[in-house]
Amino acid sequence: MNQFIKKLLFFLSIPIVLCLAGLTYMQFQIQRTFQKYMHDSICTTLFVGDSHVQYAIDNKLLNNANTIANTGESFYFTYYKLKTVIEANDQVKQVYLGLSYHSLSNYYERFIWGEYSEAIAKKYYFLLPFSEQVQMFYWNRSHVFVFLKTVIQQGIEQLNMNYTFAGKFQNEFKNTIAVKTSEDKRLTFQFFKENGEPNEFSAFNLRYLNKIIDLCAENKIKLYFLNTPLHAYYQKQIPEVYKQKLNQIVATKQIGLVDLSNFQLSDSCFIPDGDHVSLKGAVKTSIEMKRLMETAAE
Amino acid sequence: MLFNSFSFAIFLPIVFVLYWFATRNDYKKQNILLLVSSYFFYACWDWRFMFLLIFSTYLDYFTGIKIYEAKANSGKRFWLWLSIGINLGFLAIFKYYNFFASSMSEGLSLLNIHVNPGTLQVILPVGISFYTFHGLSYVIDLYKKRIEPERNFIDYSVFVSFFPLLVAGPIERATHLLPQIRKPRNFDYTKAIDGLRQILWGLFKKIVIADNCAQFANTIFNSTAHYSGSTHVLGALFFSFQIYCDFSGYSDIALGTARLFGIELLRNFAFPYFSRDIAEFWRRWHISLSSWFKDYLYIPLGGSKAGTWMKVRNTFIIFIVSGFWHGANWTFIAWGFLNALFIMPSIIQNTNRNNLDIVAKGKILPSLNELANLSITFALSVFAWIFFRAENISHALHYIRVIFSRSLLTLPNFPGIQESFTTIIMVVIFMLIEWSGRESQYAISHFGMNWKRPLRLAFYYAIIVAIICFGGKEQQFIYFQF
Repeated sequence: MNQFIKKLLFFLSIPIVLCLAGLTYMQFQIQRTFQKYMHDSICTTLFVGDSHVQYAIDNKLLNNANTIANTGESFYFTYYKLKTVIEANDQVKQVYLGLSYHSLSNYYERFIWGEYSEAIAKKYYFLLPFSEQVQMFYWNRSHVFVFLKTVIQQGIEQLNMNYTFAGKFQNEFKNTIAVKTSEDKRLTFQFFKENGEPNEFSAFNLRYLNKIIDLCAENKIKLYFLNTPLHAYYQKQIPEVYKQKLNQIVATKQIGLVDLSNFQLSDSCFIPDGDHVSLKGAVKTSIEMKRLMETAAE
Repeated sequence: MLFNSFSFAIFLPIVFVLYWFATRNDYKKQNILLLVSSYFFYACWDWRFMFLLIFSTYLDYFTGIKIYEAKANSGKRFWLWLSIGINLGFLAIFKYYNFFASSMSEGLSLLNIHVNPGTLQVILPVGISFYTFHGLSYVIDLYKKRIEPERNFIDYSVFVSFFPLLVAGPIERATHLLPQIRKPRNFDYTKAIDGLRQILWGLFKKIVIADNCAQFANTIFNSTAHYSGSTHVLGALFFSFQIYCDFSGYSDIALGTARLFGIELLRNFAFPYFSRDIAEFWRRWHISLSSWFKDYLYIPLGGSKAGTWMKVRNTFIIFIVSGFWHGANWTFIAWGFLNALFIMPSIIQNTNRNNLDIVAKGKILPSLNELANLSITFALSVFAWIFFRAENISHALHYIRVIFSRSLLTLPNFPGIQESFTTIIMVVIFMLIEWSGRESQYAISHFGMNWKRPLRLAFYYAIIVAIICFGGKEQQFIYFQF
């Protein structure tokens, strides 16, 4: 029996050690090269957040700014991404963090440990500390081999300087308009339970929002919240508690809010779901953002 | 708790260590541990149905003793039919009620009689077809005086609920499994290593072959209107490998797991796709179910002793019942019927027991004649699988119509065809390994045994790497729904 257990452990230890060594090497390399890549971009302003910011802020229309927002990126992932960037990039002076009403909802936790974890979490795996990586495997335990495979695939891609976690301005919606049925679908997905009650706030993500605030403060980086434009119909349907919560966060944390949620844009400046701007909307939003930044600088 | 899940990877070593270390090799304690862990395993699926499992177990345990103790034959018969009635009653309610109700309603509507019998909103308890058949074989064997009743309820419960076989077989016999449960079991290093090897091979079959094939089979079967005949053939082939690797992969993991606990389960698959006729295919496919139907249905009906036509009738009955056992859908009945049709020539000509040994035994390649027979048998089984996979009969017929259209001669094309090339290569490698190991219990049981140890280890590591790198998206085991 003892011989069996010893041999089994030895047999299993070889791939486990090799796998751990490979993943550790990937993590070291990816973090190092990403920090260098960000350093080379010499941008003093970063736009971070999820697809709202990614679709809305075209950094080419701004001065000295870089959009590194990414689809499905919750505060949890933003915190670790920002931490990696800031550690080796003291040129960063300002960060605009996407803070929309939906960012507060616990539906976003599905992107961390729920059904969308495999699609989103794999991209950020190499930015996470060891304890969080273990947690990530635990959250994806029902398909652990598939998750390991996708992590390795991501690692190989990121070693080739394709930083899938970084995100960049991206908007391919050229001829779209907001459509009520899509907006309703989106609102249900983001804000409501099956019984019609509003979703709870995500305590987990709010904790990481606080961590982002502390991180910026420690590194003497000016942090702003950015609420990107929303279609009027969509905005009207958002539960009141979410609006109150966002106002409360802004007030208590004393962080400047660039609130573009009421920015007047036509229907064709949105994509069907009403909570993302189209390419046309992105141009207008970016120009407005530039104007606001210049005004603030004066 | 799936065999290919993280939770099972935690569960199995814990039970294994407790079984061999905490019980001090006391088989009574080992049985209690096996029972508790089996119930825990089952409760992970749905704890509510545990009571049904326990009730069904107690029913057969109790009626088994009553059958044995009854003096008169009428008394024995009474207890036997009570057990059969209640067991099949549960199956009828949970598995077949809605099917019967809707079929009756549809049938009557053809006669212009409109009734609404109502349907039950019930979930099918996982494994019910398997543990019901365990229990039935036990009481029938007792009635036929093939065995004596098990007086220890724990031992009997382990026989019914032993977790490796609980949810999808193999369907065990009391004559085979109970004696193993009743006696002390010692750890056997060689058997344990063999068990691990079989688990590894089962995982490869399930994760690499079945789960990948499932993805492509689903794409093709779910939108049959869009694809050519050749693509439909490819879809049917993908499903054929999916179902084989899914179910035989599950069985390999079950057999390997049981072996870790010093218990041998019945072999369920013996390379069915290397069969030279349909009769041989059915001696090699889901062996525990086929032999169950043979022993408890075909032979009691008269088997082959009462002339050719009786043999034909009985063959149709067991194939149709076997199809129906798989699920409450006309497609399964059609699948069973089709297999009965395919086997008929050999039944009538009395050639159904011509190919009892494995094909090309002791040779590397089959003869041309054998190759032709292998190909025909494989093609027939693939054709029958279309009914098994289809949503309903009209779906199956439409699928077949498209296959035999002009587009059969075009190149297959569907979204994901590029990705499917890796899977096709994997299937080819898999079939070559299966071919080389076809004289063993499972393909890799003796594979590379003459190689040097590092090379053999490298082979096992290659399987692990393949599981990680080429594993498909996790799919439920198909047979769990039966």
